[in-house]
Amino acid sequence: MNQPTGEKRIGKKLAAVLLWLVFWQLGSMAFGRSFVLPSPVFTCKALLQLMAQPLFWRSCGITLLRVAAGLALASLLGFLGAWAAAISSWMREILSVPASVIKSVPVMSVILIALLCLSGSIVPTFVCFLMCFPVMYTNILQGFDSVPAEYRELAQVYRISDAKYFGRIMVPASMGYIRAGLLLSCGLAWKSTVAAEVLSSPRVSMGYHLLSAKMYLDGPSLFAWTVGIVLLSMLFEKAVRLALRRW
Amino acid sequence: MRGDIVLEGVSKTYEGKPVLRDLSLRFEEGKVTAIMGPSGLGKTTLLKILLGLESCEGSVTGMEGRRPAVVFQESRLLPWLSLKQNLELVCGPGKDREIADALALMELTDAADKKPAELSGGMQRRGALARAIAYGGDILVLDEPFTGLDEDLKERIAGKLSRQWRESGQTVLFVTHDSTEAKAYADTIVKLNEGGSL
Ligand SMILES: Nc1ncnc2c1ncn2[C@@H]1O[C@H](COP(=O)(O)OP(=O)(O)O)[C@@H](O)[C@H]1O
Ligand SMILES: [Mg+2]
Repeated sequence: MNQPTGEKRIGKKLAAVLLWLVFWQLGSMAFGRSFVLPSPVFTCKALLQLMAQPLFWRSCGITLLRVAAGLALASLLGFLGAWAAAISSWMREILSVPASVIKSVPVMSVILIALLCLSGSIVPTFVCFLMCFPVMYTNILQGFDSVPAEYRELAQVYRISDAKYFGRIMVPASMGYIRAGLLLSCGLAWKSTVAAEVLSSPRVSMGYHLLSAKMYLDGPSLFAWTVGIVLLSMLFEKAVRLALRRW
Repeated sequence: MRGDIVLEGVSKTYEGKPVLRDLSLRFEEGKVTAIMGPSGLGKTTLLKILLGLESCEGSVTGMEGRRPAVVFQESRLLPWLSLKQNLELVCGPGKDREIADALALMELTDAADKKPAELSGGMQRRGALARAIAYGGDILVLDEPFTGLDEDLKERIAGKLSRQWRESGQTVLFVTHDSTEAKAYADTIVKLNEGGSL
């Protein structure tokens, strides 16, 4: 394996980021027109300008809330659904239909259908929930299914109640799968929430600003918002990772 | 007082392969019985049948309504719980005394807060024993409980345990492939042979 640790790794990571920034700079120089592919320096300037405005932070905050709410709801219902499916084979069959269908429906269809049925500002949260639910459900159920039979036997001979078996054995034994599901969902949650924001355009949202930057052909601003989304999404994933470490 | 545990004409087949054939046995209440036999003969299977974890042909009586305390052939300590939490999980609340005593008996008091992965194989084995003892069932079912313990420790611990069992009239079934162990700690020895018993 090629996975160095510690300072060496951070050094390598910085060098890699720097390398790609250089590529980006060269690319923008080749294009020449700053609104098609603005240079990193330009983008950084635009981002700093944005960061000086309260609206930027409010948009970040609201979008972050939408992502968190959608993901939390997907996790909760995914967990409850997986629990039901682990207990009842009927529930397993019933839930397997939406779980596999949603997985292959394009995000855009989901957004457009949601826009038809729901009022604008909850569409992003709903879309985020819908995209993350199958991932959470499938991962958690896979975790529950992979609990070794040895533990089931242990619980059976020692007369451990079903509730205790679930909470103290099944869930902790599935933690690896639950964690993987959550980390997979983080990226998905951001992408789908922002996409839904672009199409539903609530006034305060990162997606709305992305769209208006595009309409005004404001390349640097478009890039700056994108960089902001990427950074925030990475931070969010880090926070989830950190929260999961306690388990 | 409960009755003996009686097996009559018990047979077990795994995927067409016979493991136990027409086995008839009696395990006496209040006695320590060693089940002996080379590996792969169906000793573990026999215990699982007694515990209701495997089905079989024939009849098993005397296990109904019992509260078995079990040591499986593998230690089966839950890796995310400390040793003490592992004991608490099966014992339920209000058993602090029994848990502390069992850990002390197995010489594990200092390891109580360690996770299973931090314990040696022998310590895990004793942990599984401590769990069964703290649980305090009315029958102890032990699958090769002393394997993995070094000789001194095995003698000390098995000695303490068998003395306790004799004094309290505990019903114990334990599997071993070591005849010295069987002779030293059991009242009765049952030898499993190819598809039956002696
Ligand atoms: N779940 C199972 N499925 C198929 N075969 C099994 C299963 N459990 C045990 N066996 C087979 O039954 C035989 C007896 O196993 P076991 O009871 O573990 O023997 P022992 O404990 O005496 O070593 C072995 O040949 C083993 O391969
Ligand atoms: Mg065995």
